[in-house]
Amino acid sequence: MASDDRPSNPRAPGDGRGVHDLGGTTAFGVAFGPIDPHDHATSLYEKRVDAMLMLLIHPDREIFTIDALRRAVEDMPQPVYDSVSYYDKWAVGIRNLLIERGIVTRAEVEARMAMIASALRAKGQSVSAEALS
Amino acid sequence: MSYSIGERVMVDPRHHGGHHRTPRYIKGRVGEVVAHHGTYRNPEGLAYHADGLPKKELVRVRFHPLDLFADYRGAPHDLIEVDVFEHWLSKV
Repeated sequence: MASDDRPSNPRAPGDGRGVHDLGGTTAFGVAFGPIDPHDHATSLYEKRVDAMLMLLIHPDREIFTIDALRRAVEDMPQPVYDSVSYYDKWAVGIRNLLIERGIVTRAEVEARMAMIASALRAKGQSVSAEALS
Repeated sequence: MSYSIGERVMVDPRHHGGHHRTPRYIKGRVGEVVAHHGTYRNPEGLAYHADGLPKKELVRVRFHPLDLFADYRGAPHDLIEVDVFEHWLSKV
């Protein structure tokens, strides 16, 4: 390979790079700003998503593997991948893999989420359409 | 295929549409094997619920940043080490 193809460019559609494969690109500086190296508080939601994944990938049951979770996350459309949080990516990936593995159906997930959304609205909380997709 | 410590290896430049653990920035680049990690089920199969067998050897490969990034401005003694599965490597 020629030396000038070393990747210092922002990712471009059709460059064969997965949405997650950002190493060496300027995508972080351009699209996301500098990396914040500080620790942050962990929310209950994040702990729950983490725990759920650990149970699902545990060798005793291995409903799916960490590799499948990575694949499910990498399959997210780029605008979604770029805009949702780390654990939201896990939550979406876990949902999609549970459907893929036949543990739950999409209809069951959607019905449950609609139920939760209406309960939240009844309490006066707003629910974004994105949260339901 | 097994690689010795100190052996120079090239990372396969091929495009792979499915899940794999070989980052774009090392594809087609030459590095040096610096450690053996043992054998592991292949994530390229596990990612799609296959058994990931046969197991593949995972090795740590050391690169010089300037071989990877044309505009690298870090310290000259900086090194980058990446764990790479054997089927992405060939002897130089």
